[in-house]
Amino acid sequence: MGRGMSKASRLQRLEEILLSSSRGHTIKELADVLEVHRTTVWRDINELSLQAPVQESENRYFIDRKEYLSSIRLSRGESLMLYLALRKMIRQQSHLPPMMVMAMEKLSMALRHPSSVQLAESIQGMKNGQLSTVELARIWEVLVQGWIERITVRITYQEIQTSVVEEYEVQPYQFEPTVQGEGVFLIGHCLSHEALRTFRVDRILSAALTTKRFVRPKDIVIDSMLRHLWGIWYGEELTRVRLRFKDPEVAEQVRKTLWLPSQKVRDLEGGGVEWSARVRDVFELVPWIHGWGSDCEVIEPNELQERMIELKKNHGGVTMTVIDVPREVTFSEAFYQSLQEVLDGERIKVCLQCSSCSGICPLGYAMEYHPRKMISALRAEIFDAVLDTDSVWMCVSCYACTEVCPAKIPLTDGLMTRTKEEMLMAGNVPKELQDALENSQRYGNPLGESPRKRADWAKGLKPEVTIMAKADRPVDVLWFVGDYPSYHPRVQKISKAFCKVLAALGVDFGILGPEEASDGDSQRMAGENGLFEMLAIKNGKAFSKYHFNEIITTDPHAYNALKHKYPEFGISYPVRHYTEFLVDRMEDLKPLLKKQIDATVTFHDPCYLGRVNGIYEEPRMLLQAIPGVELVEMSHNRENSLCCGGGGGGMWLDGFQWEKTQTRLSEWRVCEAVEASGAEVDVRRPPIKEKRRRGLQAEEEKLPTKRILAGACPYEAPRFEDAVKMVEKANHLEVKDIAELLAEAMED
Amino acid sequence: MDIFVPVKLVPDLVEELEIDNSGTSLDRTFLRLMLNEFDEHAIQEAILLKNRIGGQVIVIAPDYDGVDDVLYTAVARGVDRVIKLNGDFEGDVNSHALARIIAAKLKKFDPDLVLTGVQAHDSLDGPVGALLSAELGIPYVGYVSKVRMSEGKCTVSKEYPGGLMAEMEVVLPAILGIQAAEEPPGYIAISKIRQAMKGATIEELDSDELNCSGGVTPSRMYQPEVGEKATMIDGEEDAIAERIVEVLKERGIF
Repeated sequence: MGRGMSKASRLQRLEEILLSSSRGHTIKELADVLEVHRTTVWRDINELSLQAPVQESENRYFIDRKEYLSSIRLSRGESLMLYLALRKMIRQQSHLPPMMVMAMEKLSMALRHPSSVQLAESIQGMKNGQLSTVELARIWEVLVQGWIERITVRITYQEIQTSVVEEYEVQPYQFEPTVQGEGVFLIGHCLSHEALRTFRVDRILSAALTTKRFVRPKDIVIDSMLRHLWGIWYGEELTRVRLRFKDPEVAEQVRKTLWLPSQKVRDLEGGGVEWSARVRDVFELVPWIHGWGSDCEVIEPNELQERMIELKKNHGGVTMTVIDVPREVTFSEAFYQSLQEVLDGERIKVCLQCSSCSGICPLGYAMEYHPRKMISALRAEIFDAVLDTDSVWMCVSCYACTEVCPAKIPLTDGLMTRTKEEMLMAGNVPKELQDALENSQRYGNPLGESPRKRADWAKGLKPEVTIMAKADRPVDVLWFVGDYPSYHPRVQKISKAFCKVLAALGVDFGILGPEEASDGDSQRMAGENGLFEMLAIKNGKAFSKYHFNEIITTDPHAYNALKHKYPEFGISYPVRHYTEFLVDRMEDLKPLLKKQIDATVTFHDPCYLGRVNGIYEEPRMLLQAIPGVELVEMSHNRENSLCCGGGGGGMWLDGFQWEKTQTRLSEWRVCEAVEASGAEVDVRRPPIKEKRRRGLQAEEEKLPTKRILAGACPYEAPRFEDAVKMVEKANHLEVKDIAELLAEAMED
Repeated sequence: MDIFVPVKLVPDLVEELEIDNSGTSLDRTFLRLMLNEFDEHAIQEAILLKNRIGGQVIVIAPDYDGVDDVLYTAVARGVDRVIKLNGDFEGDVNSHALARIIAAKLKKFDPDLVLTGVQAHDSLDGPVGALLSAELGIPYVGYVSKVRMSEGKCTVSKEYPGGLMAEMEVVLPAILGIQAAEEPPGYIAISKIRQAMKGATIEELDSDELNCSGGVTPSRMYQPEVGEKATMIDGEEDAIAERIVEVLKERGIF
């Protein structure tokens, strides 16, 4: 891609790369990624350093994120708007924070217009007269850092009224310019008062960061509160208003609430308060005061007093509708806030809109709102529009977007799953998925099978499979079988093969049988967290009845849930995927693998084994332990593996997704498997580059022995086998689970 | 406007049904019960009506095993009140008996409209809705898939065999046997059901003595039996498939 790129886009890419890694990159690494010569990288870095804080340490280059918010690309009009806002601020400040002047300078340079350059020069004049002290600059630095990184700050503050200096610990929530034009307010939770307070930044005498981090409560959205209330009540000509609230309970409410930064609240005898503030148009307060009914009495000014008395007469003392309800938090705001509660969720703030997520998403092309666009809609506060589409049901929770995101935003756990949750709560669920979820509720498995028949697959196996409730003895290993391995006819074969492997190794194992319920992980990723919890607790109860040393499973989804999510409900046992478990017993296993399987085998990394849990080598080690197997890789492998389409509810959205795409991810994957194992591929869908196809045709003659697509997840065998039937010329391809290949290699 | 929805639970066919020792009824030892699907549609249609014209929806159900979950789910769907009828419903309770005890309660509530599932797969003696109509002496229309309200009456769409549709006017109060709601019942998340469990109360009423008279009495109940002319093909899937192809060729179908 490198050589074809324009210099501008190369610089942008370089900037993104330097931002994405805290370790930094060497010139060589950068040259490799950008596919340009090292001298070009060198020149580009020098050029980029002029615009961005590029740093170097031990020949590694990086951009210090602390120094650097993100690259915001602004149009000229947008720059002008920011410039005007700043200009207004600067005019109103008696002490200019240096960062305000710097920002002004940068913007005026960016505008490159003679008038703005002139203005920039005039700031120079202002700077000399008005520029603040070093201390004020430092205060701003601290407040901004506290605000962005959510660290409590300790400030010394001179009270406006009394001039008394006090020390406070404040969690900075927001900055807001005063409308009268005197300065900037810091709004935050004051630990000393245990309440929301406002502080004028120019009255803060010193500020220091504490070591305490804070979480901004989700029910507080100051921004909307301010927009609603300040806009109405502020102006230049001010009249003093005094109101009395006698009822102590009402008074308490008044004390806690901040309507105006200039409001003052004075305690009265008997628990009441007197509230006073200076406002422009007193009559704008009428509906608000009226809303308090008899709880509020106007003391000053007279004209307001008279108006209220008149109103009460006209309405016979009946209270009118309360108009002063703070604007309801919009859905977008609340949703954005909720995303930040996911682990590392606040990273969503630094989304660069680079669209790597949407590009790598295997189904992004079929989404009206792909991940990047979802974030952009969220920022534009039009997220409702996203929920009006069914885009998110195309998501197969494969974590490809999360893996590729340079800002490391938890896209799958946060954005996608939370969006599915919202869709689900609104009842906006495709019928297929609804059935699977209802089945999981009712029967404990998404297939809608009888829970009593969960162990039927094991009937008649020799040696007999131990069912915990019947055996009533401790076992070494509890095998969590899972839904598809228990009920799906194709996957039952894998279960039986795995039984054979375990028996050959002499493993003492048992299963829960009818007491086992779905692990619930895919239901969780489809947005049904409550159902997940219910299933987890049900399984937890079953686990607690028996004695065993560890849990193993052939299902990466179950593995993921048991390992990472069940402990959140206090259900914590050592758990291993069967590939890990078997690699550990490689010494015992290897001598048993006597039968040669002459085959070219390619391994499909299951998303929840690979990308989610970092298990890449164990499955490959098992395959390579089988005599005769030649392991080849598909173009997408390991971290970059392509989803089979079954995750995140995809298993139960097959028809829905097919209607949108007329193909399946499993078919795409089978094309890759055919290609990797050297057979000819169907070129109609998805398209494969001309060059590669020619290469393939040349190799076609020497068709080797068997070609096998191997998997290690119960969703795969049925999905890939169906896909093999759909993809032309894939009929040479066999689909096998590793457990099946191992069992086959154990045959005499 | 009060819309009453009497519902019942029926055997879940996911489990294999077994015949008890008497040979005339189901063995209920391991029977799993679920809400009658048509009744679920009746609840849904009642909620759609409520959302359009206001009023409240009251679901009333005999006390079967698992009925509490069904009632809480109904609340999560938007039902306003849920009533459980206490009594012994473990044995064979036919539609006649159910209609009698439900009618006795409905008389006291004086409903404007009663919606119920048009049928249930275990109703050997006819649908509860029609029997309720006889007990209460108010009109009944079955196989309804659309309801429009107007002053003192409603217009319903009813399906006849052969795909014919009829629109008819019914004077209220009336009983409608719902075949399908205008929009199918949506998914109810577990968290919503939990909320309902915390917030809602199931009202309980004692029911009168069960009176099953007027219904039918099975003389023998049995699993489907293999007919004389049928041949069962046993064996592995592939072998079965091959044999089927052979048979089809033999008969000249292929």
